[in-house]
Amino acid sequence: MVFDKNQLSGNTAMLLLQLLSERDMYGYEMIEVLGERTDNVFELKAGTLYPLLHGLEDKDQLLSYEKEAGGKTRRYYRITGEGKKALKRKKKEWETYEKAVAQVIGGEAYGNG
Amino acid sequence: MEMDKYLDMVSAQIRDNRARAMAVKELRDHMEDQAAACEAEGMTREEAVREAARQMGDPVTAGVELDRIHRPKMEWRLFFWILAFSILGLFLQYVCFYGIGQAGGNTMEYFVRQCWYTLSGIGIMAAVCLWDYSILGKHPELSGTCFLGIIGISGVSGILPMMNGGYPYLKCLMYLFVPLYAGILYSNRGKGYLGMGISTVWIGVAFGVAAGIIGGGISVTGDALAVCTVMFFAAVGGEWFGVPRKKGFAAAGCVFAAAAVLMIANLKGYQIARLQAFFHPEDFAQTAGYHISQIRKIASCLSFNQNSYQILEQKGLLDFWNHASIQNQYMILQSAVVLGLAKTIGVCGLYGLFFLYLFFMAAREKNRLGRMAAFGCTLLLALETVRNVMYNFGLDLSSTAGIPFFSYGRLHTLTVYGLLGILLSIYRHRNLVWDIPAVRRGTDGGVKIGNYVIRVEKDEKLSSGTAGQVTKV
Repeated sequence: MVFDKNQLSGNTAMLLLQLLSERDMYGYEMIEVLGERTDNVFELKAGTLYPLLHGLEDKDQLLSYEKEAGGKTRRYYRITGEGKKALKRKKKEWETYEKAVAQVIGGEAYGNG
Repeated sequence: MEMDKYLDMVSAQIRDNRARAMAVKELRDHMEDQAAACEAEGMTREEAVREAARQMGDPVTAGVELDRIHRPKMEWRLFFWILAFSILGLFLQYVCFYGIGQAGGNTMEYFVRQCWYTLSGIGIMAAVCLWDYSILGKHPELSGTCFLGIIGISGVSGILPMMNGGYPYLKCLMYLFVPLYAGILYSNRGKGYLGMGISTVWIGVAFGVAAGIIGGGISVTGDALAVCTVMFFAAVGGEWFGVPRKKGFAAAGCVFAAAAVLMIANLKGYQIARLQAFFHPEDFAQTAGYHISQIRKIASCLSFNQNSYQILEQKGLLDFWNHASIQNQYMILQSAVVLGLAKTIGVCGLYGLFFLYLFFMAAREKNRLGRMAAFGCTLLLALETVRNVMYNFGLDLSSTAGIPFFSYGRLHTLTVYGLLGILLSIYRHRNLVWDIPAVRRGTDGGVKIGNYVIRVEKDEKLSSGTAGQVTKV
């Protein structure tokens, strides 16, 4: 299924924050987990992922640290308090958006009545 | 080949060397993981690498985006705070000493000089801000030796004019030891008790050089080294040395308690007299307690929102007060005399907000060297300011080098702006400097990283090869 690129990238940060709110992960692991949990609907490219992660770190929503895993030193990412607040805000925005879309395309079942 | 080509294209877009190296390592690791997964699915190495490169996406877009994030970003808000305080400080000096205030002997020439010192300080701050502060953590022992060595040689060689048996005008230079000490602590991470010992010895050596060479103004050295001690305990608390927190605190506590006892036992006669005068100024009103008793009298008769000159005259305190040398030493009290207590409290409140902001910025810093240096510089400026205000109202025993932005003086102004430049440099490079994991030399020539000792040994059976060994400890 092909999704509009802008629509997806706008919410990718929310998905990453959600994954990291469950546990700390490194980049490759995030792509793998995201693919598994969405039946490969979201196939995030590394070239999109890392700038996004570094941008979130710049906004203090994530912090990174190096840790040994599987014989390699990897850069792990952890959600911060600021990140948890941002996730909560983004989820709320998403719910509003989802509800609005459903009201338009969902017919009577989603109507105001 | 495909992997190198992709990474070359990404790195070509990133201007900063360190950001480029960090991003390339992270992307290479990712591609290796991806290629390994493809190989596990049955692809050849060449096919797997090609597929991994394909899955990475557009290298130019990724590189440009990473470059946008990882470049020096000026902390303009702090810069404008500093500029605003500089202007406010000069304005207050003008009003309190040359405008409304009656500064005995102070002429406009002093004010013009202070304006030049401030402008030069801002220039120094801008230059330091462009400099990469992470060098503090690269050669700290060399920098510390050079710094203390220059002070020592300046004193011993007789190049500088001597005053009262020392070089008290150099006291402000000790401010600069604080950021250097952050580098010393950072470079001793993971070195256990040896690292703790080395870090402690540096405080002792700095004290020895300052007391032996600079002489006067030892309370400024005391402030700088008290801040270094707090930084040291913060490093112990953060387990920087790899020593468990409780054991570290116990060991460090014993050493510093012993040093404090030793210092108290060796107090000089004039220092004991000052202590006695501080607690009972009335008993020493004509000797060691003269200044403090006069200051307390002035502080007790200040008007809340009006000029207090008339009151000082009525109480016979104006003769003591109306001297430039006295007023320069008690800037905040002069402000309270001229503008009233309410406005001075407002100024002190602004200082409080400024330092809260600086502490908030230091706490937000991600790099440990940057955080420690920022915390140390901020704490030193805050400590000197608080002590200065207390001293102005007769609540502190010893004078400080001055209050940032408000005190008259060349070296003080320049060193304060130097420290502020270091703070700006730290926040400007916050997306460009990463923590290097502490590496500890283990037993048998191995290198200790966390719970592991990594040792590379030559394998005699393989004449041209080496075999690595990882031991959990």
